[in-house]
Amino acid sequence: MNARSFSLGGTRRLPTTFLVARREVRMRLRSRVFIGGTIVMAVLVVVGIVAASLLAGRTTPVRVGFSGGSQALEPSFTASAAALGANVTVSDIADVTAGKAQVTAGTLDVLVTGSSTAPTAVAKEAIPSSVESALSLAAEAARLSDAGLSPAAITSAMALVPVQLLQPPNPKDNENLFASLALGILLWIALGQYGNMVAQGVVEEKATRIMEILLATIQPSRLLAGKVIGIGLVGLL
Amino acid sequence: MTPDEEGTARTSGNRGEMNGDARVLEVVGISKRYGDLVALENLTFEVRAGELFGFVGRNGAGKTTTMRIALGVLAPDAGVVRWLGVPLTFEARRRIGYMPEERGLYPKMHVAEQLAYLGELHGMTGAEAREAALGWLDRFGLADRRDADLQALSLGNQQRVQLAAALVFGPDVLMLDEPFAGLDPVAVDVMAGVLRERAEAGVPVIFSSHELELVERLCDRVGIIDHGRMVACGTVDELRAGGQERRWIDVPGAPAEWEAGVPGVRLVQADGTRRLFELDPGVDDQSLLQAALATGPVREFERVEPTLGELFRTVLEEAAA
Repeated sequence: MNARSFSLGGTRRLPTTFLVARREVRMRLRSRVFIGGTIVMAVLVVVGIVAASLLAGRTTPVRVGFSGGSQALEPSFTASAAALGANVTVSDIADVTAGKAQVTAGTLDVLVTGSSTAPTAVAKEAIPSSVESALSLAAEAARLSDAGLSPAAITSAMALVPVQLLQPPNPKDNENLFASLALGILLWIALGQYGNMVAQGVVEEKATRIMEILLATIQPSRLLAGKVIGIGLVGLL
Repeated sequence: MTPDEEGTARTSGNRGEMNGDARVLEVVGISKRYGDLVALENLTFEVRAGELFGFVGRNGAGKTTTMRIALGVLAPDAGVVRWLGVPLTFEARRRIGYMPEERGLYPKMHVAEQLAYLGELHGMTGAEAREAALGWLDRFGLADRRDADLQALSLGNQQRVQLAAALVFGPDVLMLDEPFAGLDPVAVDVMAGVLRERAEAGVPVIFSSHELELVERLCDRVGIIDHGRMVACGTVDELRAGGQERRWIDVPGAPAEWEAGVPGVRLVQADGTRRLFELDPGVDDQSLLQAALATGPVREFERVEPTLGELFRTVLEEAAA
């Protein structure tokens, strides 16, 4: 494969630093370790980006089960949750004990028991605040209805305060933060790798004992400069 | 022998400029110490254009140190190395082809590419370097391995590449540390031929070797170094001139101790009826022959020249004494 690069012999005398750098680039681009390492790195970057976008785009709905009298809250809870921006699915649970077992097992996130005016929420570790708020609103509406208010009066009494945002956040901000963090880590690994490459490359001449021949024809500073430039160029790839 | 017989007859102290060709590498009074160890002490010799100079000495005598200093890789504590009459500059050093004792090239680089790279580092253009690299590989029978990694070659072939690395840029001076070590007889012949050819092309060639028979056969002049000092330097004949003359003589019918009446003659060795005698300086070997003829017919009378190996041991013994 080097037949082509080898035949590029020109008719000019080239500076020794350039010759050293050119050799470093050629040798490294040809080395299996370098090619393999670069491919692995590229694959990692692609996998990272795909995984990040998949993770960022996905929000799992909160599964809320209602048992007994609380089942009357379902329509108003769904509406309140939608108004609060919470993603929920609602189901009927016939038996409170079975419902608690589901919560413990993780197949249900929140179980609502009790009556519609005095419900109790059962969760495993924590209850999302938006779900708790939606449930409180639904229970309050039920209590107001119990107290004899008309549905229209209840709706107007419980209307949410409209919020006007002057600088609404970009929904992609989180995604960007994640991506830049991942990129930073990859870059750090890559820089460490190429720093190591420079360190190893610099001792190469000593280790292969070619130094004695080279020292007679090239100043050590030029040799070092050529090596650092060559490996640095490869590192930029 | 060198075409310049007059030049080779001189001793090492003479100046090269007096020679017809001014291309002389002069090593003048170099000394080097490593702490308490004296590696070189006031070492002086010169190698003229077209001359093969053999450098012999025991391990640790200072051969490699001398070459490193002459190459400028190592700085001497005292003394100077001159080329073309002036102290060696960096540019002049770039024109020296060097084969270090510790062989070293890039193991994972292709052979031809590596040689071309070294050629370019020594100031050739890419095209020149490539052509020279392929030419030398062809010369050493490695043309079909040009695109192989160096490490894929046998040790003998790696050594040929190492020599090619010293030759590829057409050096003005060749300095080779143990170039024949580890080579098979065919490779030795090829390498000896190349060195001879380079010398005839007017390049001063210096090499060190422990193969004294080879040095004797190949070299115009020999330097024997011991404990960092040049203890003998000159052509093999010049080195012999200082030694004792020896004769083998076979007189089958002679009585025992027939030579007793010949002054200045000493029996060294007996082999059947053959005797080896050592003659004191100035003793005419014809008086020994006449004494032998007086006792009966002489079947053999042979002048024995000491080999370089024998001279080497004698010189080292004298130096130690």
